[in-house]
Order: sequence, then structure tokens, then C-alpha cells
Amino acid sequence: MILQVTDLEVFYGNIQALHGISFNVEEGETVTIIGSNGAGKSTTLLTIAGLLKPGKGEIKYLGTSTKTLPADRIVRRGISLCPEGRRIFSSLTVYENLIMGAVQRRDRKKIRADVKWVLSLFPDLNSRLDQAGGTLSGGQQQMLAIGRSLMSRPKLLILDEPSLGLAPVLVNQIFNVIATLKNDGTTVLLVEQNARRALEIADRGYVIETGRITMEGSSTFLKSNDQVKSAYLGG
Amino acid sequence: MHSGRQAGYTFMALGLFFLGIYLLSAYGNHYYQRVGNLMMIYVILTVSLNLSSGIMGISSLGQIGFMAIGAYVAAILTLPPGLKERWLTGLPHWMHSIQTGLLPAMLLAGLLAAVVAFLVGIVILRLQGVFAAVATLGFLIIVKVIAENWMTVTRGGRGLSALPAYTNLWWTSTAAVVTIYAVWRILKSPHGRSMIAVREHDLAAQSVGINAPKIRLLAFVISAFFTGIAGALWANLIGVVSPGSFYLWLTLLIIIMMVVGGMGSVTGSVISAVGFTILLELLRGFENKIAMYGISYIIFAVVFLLMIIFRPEGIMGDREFSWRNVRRIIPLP
Repeated sequence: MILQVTDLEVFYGNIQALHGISFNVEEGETVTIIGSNGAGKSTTLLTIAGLLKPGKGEIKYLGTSTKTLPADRIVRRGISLCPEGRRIFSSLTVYENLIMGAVQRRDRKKIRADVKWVLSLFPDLNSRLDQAGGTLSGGQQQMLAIGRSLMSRPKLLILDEPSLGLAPVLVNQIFNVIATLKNDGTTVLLVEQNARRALEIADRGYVIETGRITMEGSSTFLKSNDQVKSAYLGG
Repeated sequence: MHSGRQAGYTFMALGLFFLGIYLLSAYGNHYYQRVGNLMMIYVILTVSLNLSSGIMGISSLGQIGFMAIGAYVAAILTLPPGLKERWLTGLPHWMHSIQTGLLPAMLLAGLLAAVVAFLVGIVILRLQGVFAAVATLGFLIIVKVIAENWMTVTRGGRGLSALPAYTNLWWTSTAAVVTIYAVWRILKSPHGRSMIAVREHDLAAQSVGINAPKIRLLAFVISAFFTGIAGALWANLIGVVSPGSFYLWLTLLIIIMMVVGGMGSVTGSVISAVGFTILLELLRGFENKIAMYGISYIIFAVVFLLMIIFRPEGIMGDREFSWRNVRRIIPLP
């Protein structure tokens, strides 16, 4: 098991955002967490990445606890979060943005090779390497953000709403890349509002509502479940 | 353009610069030399403030506190032993007989400012934006109050006078060149990119594995080091240090210089510090001529306001000087 979350509770000040959620991700799997706005999806991901400090509960990655580790140490262990809303570094160039993703690595030759690999996944970025990140379109920024989080060569890639606010063509492109990564053996934890697309690509899924996991199962099961259908798949 | 050729141009420019410094030292009158020294000190202050505030994005109003620390360290080190014994009874005995030259005084001034920045930074850098601004302002006030009241070490409000006039154009210009070079190198290094990344998106920067608190502390400490050196140069230029010298006027002055030059641009800070030093001197002359004292500050403030309204990104934005761009305008060999 690559990731095991047990009874995780997270607070923002006095407000409890997560009420003890448990889930796990197996190596090589693609797992999705679906839920509506404010259900606690992003909170869960930020906590796993070490950007929020958990209250009770346990997060185990490859058998050891990462609960108290700072974010940079968690990246070094092999977890990479691509945060919601792109958040690329707009005054750095596209190339520099990608290099920032490898900020903890020292193997220069391999970093250069990985830039090529990322560019092969997102060919649109190829002609824009020297452009400031802020001048890219929304879709290109999302590709850059995903590319950047791949540059640490993560064992576990966490994507927070990668298709948010993108045109359908671009959504397809993003999901094609996720499919490629999945086929290459990368473990992916995916949070999406677009539950239909998420369940198409994922092996398993969890449904989260107001800070609690309310349902779990294989994607086929969740897709055919009436409750999921009416709440997240639009009937 | 070939990088060797660029280095060649840079060396030639430096050669010309130091030739100018030589001519000014040898033939310039006292007034021009003093303006030149102040100009170089303002360049150091503005460029180092730009590292912590412009490049790193720490809203610091306490920068001049580090200059005060540097100035007092240098003053205490370079004060003649007789005066030291009479005034600074709070110092340990062995220090009374010590009188250092400018270089050790400068380095120790920078180091102590950096150590204080490290300790203060651990606490203050947990805060962001306007909270950091208020906390750093608090730091500045604390430094001033200590300087005013620690009679046996700082001589309080009377200040330390009769400091040897070690500072000359060679010291200030060399220190300015070293500061510019160091900050430039940091800006172009992976550390510099990490600083920009943290400034633009703290969370995203941490999610790619940048240790944001550490990089913020690094920028803060290095910036304080050079600011402390500027304080030492200032002390041995003016010959007197007193608590009131290092307070709100200088704080505002260097912030205005940085903002007008362009936050994040080393080149902009240099241009702006040089330009404002000249402007302030011209205005002072003008003020004396028409006998309307204080008008220079008003004009200075108006220049700043106009700049904020019509060019809020400053003269350079976050762009930098490059020979490539010069070559587009002037045909260099």
C-alpha cells in the first residue's frame, strides 16, 4: 500500500473540516475522491502534502508516518501535489517553472531528460519555453502546473481539480495525459468535480460529504450507484 | 551574444566606473565626494532592501534597524580608545583598548546585523503582508529605544561622535559593487528562483518542495548583512551616530527608491538610488536659493506619487539590464 489515511481530522481554527476520514491507495492505482464544494477534498490533499497540519489520525506513506513532516520533506519522499487553480509562477519562464518542480533534485542530466519527457506529454509548451508563465492561456497553465509537479518524479501524483474551468477540448487533453501516466505505472490520486470523467479513468473512488467518507468502491460500482448518479453524475 | 564578450563589456564598464571614482577622489571637491559616498550607500541600502522586499516579498519596514545595528557596531569598534573608556563604561574592559580599521568594522557590523536578522526573522517571518510590516516596524522602534537608553554602550541620545573618517569613495563604491554582484548572483541562482516562486505562490512553492520559511529567512539575513555594512560605512562617513538618524525618514527613503526603481529589479534599484540622490541634492540647492525650506521633500513626494500613479511597476518593473538590450540601441563592437 503506497498511501494509507486513517481517521484523519483537520481543523481550520475551531472549525472542523475533516471528521475522521480513512482511505487508501495501492501502488499503481488511480484513485479518485469526488464530492461537492466544501466537502473537504482539497483539505484532504493539502494535509497529505504537509501543507496543513492534521489533528487526530494517521497518514502513512510507504509504511511510515508523514503526519509531522514538513512539505518539502514529503516531496523528497516522492509525493507531489498539483494544487487547485494552477498557481504557476507567473514571472518565471515556462522552462524555469518546470525546473522549479525539480528544485530538490541534483541530477542535472536527468532533470534535462525529464523536461523533454514532460514536453512530450504537453507538446503545446514546447514553443513557449522562454515565455513568462503568466502569459500562457488557462489550459496551458494547467498543463504547466501538472508538468511542474511531474518534475520531482513522484511515486504518488496528487491532482487537485485539474480540469477546473477548462474548455472540453482541453479537459480531454488533460485526461489523456492522466491516462498515459497511469499506463506508465504512476500512482495517481485525483480530486475532481467532474465526477463522470474521474470515474471513467479511476480504478476506485471515494465519495466525501461534509468531511466524511460516505461511500467507496470500484469505479464501475460507483458509476452505477443511484445515489452517486443523482448527486454527482446529473441523474 | 557570446558570454565572454558580455563579461568583457562588464569589465570595461567596471573599469570606467572605477576610473570615475579615481577622478572624483583625486580631483573632486569635498561636496561631490560626499554626495558620491551617500549615493553608493543608498545603492547598497536599496539593492539589499530589494532582495528581501522586492524579490522575496517580505513587507519590511524595519530594514533601517539593521543599518542602525551596523552603524553602532562600527562606531563602537572604531571609536578612539580614550573616548571609549570615558563613554562606554558598559563595554567589557578588553574592548576599551581595541580600535579596528574600517574593514573589520564593516564585516562585524554586517555579521551582527545578520545574526540579529536571523533571530528576529525566525519569529517575524511567520507573519505575512501587513502583519509582517507592523512587526518589522516594531523591530525598528525597539532598536531605536535600545539605542536611546543603553547609555553605557550607545551613549543614548547624545550619540557617538568623533568617529574616524575612514569611509571614502573606494570603500563605498567597492561595497556597492560587491552588493550588486552578490544580489544579482542570488537572483539568477536556484535560490533566487525559489524566492520568486515563494513570493508569487507560497503554497505552490511549498508543494514543489521549496522550504519556504528557510528561503525567506535566507533572503532576510543576507539583506540585513549588506544593510549592516551600509550602516558601518555611514557611521565612518558622517562621523556621528545617534538614534534619530536611523528612523522613519531613511526607512521611507529607501522604500521609495526601491519602489520607483522597480520591485524585484536590481538594475532599477541602482538607477533609482543614483537618480534620487542627485534629485535630492539639486532640490536642496534650489531650496536654499529660493529660501523655501522643506519644499524639496514636497517635490520628492510628488515625484513618488506621480510614479505610483503613472508607472506603478517602477522604472524597470522586474526586468534587468543586459548587454543584449544595450546592443539593440547602441551598436557595440
